[in-house]
Amino acid sequence: MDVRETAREQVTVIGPDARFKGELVVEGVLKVLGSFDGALKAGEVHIGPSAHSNCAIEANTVVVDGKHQGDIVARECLQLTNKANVQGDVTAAELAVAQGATFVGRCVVGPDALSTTRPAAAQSERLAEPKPTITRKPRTGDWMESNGHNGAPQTGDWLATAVPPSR
Amino acid sequence: MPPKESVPGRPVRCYHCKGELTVPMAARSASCPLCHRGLILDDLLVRDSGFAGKLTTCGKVLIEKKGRAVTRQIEACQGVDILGAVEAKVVSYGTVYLGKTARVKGDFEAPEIVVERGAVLEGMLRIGPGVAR
Repeated sequence: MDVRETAREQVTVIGPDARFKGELVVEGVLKVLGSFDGALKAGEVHIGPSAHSNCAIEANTVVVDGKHQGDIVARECLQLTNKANVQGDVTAAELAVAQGATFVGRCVVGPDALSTTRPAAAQSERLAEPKPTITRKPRTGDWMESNGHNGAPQTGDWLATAVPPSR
Repeated sequence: MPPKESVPGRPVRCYHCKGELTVPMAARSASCPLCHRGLILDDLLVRDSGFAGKLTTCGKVLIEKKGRAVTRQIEACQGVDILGAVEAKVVSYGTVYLGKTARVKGDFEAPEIVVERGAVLEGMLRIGPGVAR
């Protein structure tokens, strides 16, 4: 079996009495049950119910079952269980929020969410909106214009061009 | 004299003062006995382009598949179902449901949210049992 495949099947666990500070890269599954500060990259991340994670997470699948503070980028799916408490910005292709979960933060979700991982830039884009086409018609019968074309004196005084009443 | 028949009612929440009141089942509008302000009890349905300052109701707001609501705020006491496009601040006291065709941009406040696969959501979210109560 390939070493990488073996790694994907294995689960790395940060135990409930462990405290990790720094950057961690895991090929396979990572379960955080203790305290985690920093940044982590993994294939799949589980934040356990007893965990206190204060980090940026980048993974294919992220499951939060405890307290998490920090940004999350889930390339496939982000799941918040009923005990989840998440504070931070989230970018995910799919989002599943169970009843009872708490989430406060900016959120970009959708199949194309990862291509626009810049929330600020994404904000400025407005939804594709059919713009109304406005065409301006030339105003015919404008007295100023007609004065110029007819060779009448350009006094601007409409009384000057007034036709005397015929009998 | 026969006893007065009680009219079947339904509980609603005033979106002005957040007070609870009971209204007749068939009522479409009411006045809040607590804050004396008018209430819309109907469900609001957006079928095509809907532009309004505010969509507010004690019932539900449903944005249909071809619906498009670009408003300042959507406030619904019994939930919001979005299948079309929305650009607004959404405050819901019930579940917010985003169908697979939903395209939403705006801030959300709701106790629960359901996001179907394929839905596009962008904005600030405040989701939780303690939110929008």
